[in-house]
Amino acid sequence: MKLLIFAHKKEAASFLESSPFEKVEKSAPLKLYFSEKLESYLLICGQGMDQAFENSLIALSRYPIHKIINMGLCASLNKKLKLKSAHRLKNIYAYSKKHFHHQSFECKIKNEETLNIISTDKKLKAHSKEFALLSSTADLVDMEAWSIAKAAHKFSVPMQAFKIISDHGVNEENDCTEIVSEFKEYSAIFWNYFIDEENIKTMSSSFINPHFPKLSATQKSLESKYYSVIEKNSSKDMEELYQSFCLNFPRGKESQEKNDAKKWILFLEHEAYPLSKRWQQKLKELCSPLSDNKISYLYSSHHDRPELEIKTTVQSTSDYSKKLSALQSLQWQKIQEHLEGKNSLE
Amino acid sequence: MNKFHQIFVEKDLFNKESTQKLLTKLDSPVSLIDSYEELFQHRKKYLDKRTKLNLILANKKGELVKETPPAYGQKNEKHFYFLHQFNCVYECEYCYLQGYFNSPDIVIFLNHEEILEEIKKTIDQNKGEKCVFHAGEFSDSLALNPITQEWKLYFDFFEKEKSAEVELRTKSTSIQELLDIPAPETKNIIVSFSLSTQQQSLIHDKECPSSMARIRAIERLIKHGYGIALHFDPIIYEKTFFKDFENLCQELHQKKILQHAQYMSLGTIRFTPESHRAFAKNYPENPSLYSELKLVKNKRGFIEYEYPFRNEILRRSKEILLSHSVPSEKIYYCMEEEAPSLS
Repeated sequence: MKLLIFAHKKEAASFLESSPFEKVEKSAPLKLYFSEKLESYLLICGQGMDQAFENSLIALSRYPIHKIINMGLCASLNKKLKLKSAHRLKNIYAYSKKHFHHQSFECKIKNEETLNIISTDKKLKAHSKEFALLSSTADLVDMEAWSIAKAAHKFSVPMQAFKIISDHGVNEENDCTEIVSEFKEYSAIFWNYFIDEENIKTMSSSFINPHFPKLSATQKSLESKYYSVIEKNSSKDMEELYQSFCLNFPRGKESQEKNDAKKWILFLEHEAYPLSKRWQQKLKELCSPLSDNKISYLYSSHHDRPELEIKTTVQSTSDYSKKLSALQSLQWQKIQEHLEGKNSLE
Repeated sequence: MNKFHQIFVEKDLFNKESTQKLLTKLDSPVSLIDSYEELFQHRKKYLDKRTKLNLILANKKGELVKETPPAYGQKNEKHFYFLHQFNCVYECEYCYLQGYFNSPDIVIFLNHEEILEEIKKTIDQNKGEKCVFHAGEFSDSLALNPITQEWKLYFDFFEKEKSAEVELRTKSTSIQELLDIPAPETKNIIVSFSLSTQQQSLIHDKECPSSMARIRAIERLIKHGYGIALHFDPIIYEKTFFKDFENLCQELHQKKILQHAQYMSLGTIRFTPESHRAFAKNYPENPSLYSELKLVKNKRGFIEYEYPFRNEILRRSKEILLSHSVPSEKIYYCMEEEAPSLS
């Protein structure tokens, strides 16, 4: 479900009028509504950073939310931006007690024109030092986006945000009544944005499709490797890679799922590091006299040296002779050249 | 120069002549701040530099000169870098600055006299050893030169300090100030250029002059009498790399640049885990060009090519340089503690 968050009910007026939203917790103070038709919750989080954070957190903790869309009014720190213009957000910063907060959040939107915003509880005066300081980082300023993004981050829920410029900072000529009288117009813009953008894709959707082999409970140690090879291949078409994997390694029965996951990771690793895999294969060939005679060998690239660690146990004189002759049969010159990388890039 | 969104100046510096001179070359709005740290230490996304790059004019406090990590330059020399700027107007995809500072904003430090005092102290403390001072560790040493024009001061200093050497590392073609200064009489002022194949510079060195433009700048500097050096770093391996590198070396040889270069370095692409995280985030659309990079758990802990591949890339690149009559002693491997063998 989506969660649409507004600070003021008037900003959400078009939504509440256009679709049958019902209050979810009738007796509770939380202003949360639900529309089955839009498959969305709608929260009026209230004005200011604390209220926005608390109410967003409550909604996220109680209901199945997979995406947040924050819409609202903001001020512009950039005189070139026009009043009533609408903007998608990219980076969200916070400023309080004369300091920028160390944490910032990012809306995951692809290929869109976006602006940065700073949230602060302070009413900014145009031409003040703080106004200049904040405008070094962002074009927009509001009172809620950062808190909502913080709550979203806690629940690992992706967020998008869309803001309309209502003013250029507080000054004596500012007339809030004008802003209030135009809420209806603003709300209609939000509604149109929502309708248009409902299908917008977020980048945070996982590259791991549900039909890919899954790691079993005992394979938790492979999890970071799995994510790492997935990430390494993320510029490729994962579905195509998976089809190619299935052709080479037909999927096993449910009981073999564990092996499938392992093979899938190896396959992805091969795709991500083709030179490395080929190099390892060649080393395996060169060292086959060792493995044929139960002598293990290990090359660790972490040592930055052309060296091989060889281990075995000797059980008898004849075993000793056998293993010694296996060692003597190795083509050491070729192995050393291989460890030094000769022809490894061909 | 209209590159900057805003300019912030430390209050104490605002009325200084050098500050005012610099500000006349810029037309962005100016605000005063107490200290550059108040702005520079807060987190700002690296790619915000595309739309909201600010310039900060400040005095550098704390350490002004630092010793470099091992294998930074040629052996048998002591290497230091001095801090006169933070961050860069260019946007090379592999740049480690993207994971280094909290902010991509440019800081120009104006207390050059103090930096030079510190350099002098370092020379005196290391008497009997050749000290090389590098500019451009955290910035490009020439990219902002049209507005900063600080090098005459440094060159005057190093012309007197003949036992030491200064190296300006750059990818920039902003060399007018250097051409306006009479050619240094001493051989201890080196302008070094990072070069990659033309194809790679176009793809990866965003907002930078192309390799071709850099080569033209090198030719002009040689003609003017400067000592130059070359850094083939970072080398990003792809199937056509050696062919492209051969072509680059051929061109450099024809233009007598290889013959003039006092030294040159070779280094393969490497990231710290932090800068790699930033790189992956900033350039997710990047093709599988960097696919063989792994976290190599050696002493350096870089994300880079594994030893056999690094060794082979460096070995073959060196062979190409040698085949163009570059003496072996002029070539060193950058950031390789144990130089790979050249068998």
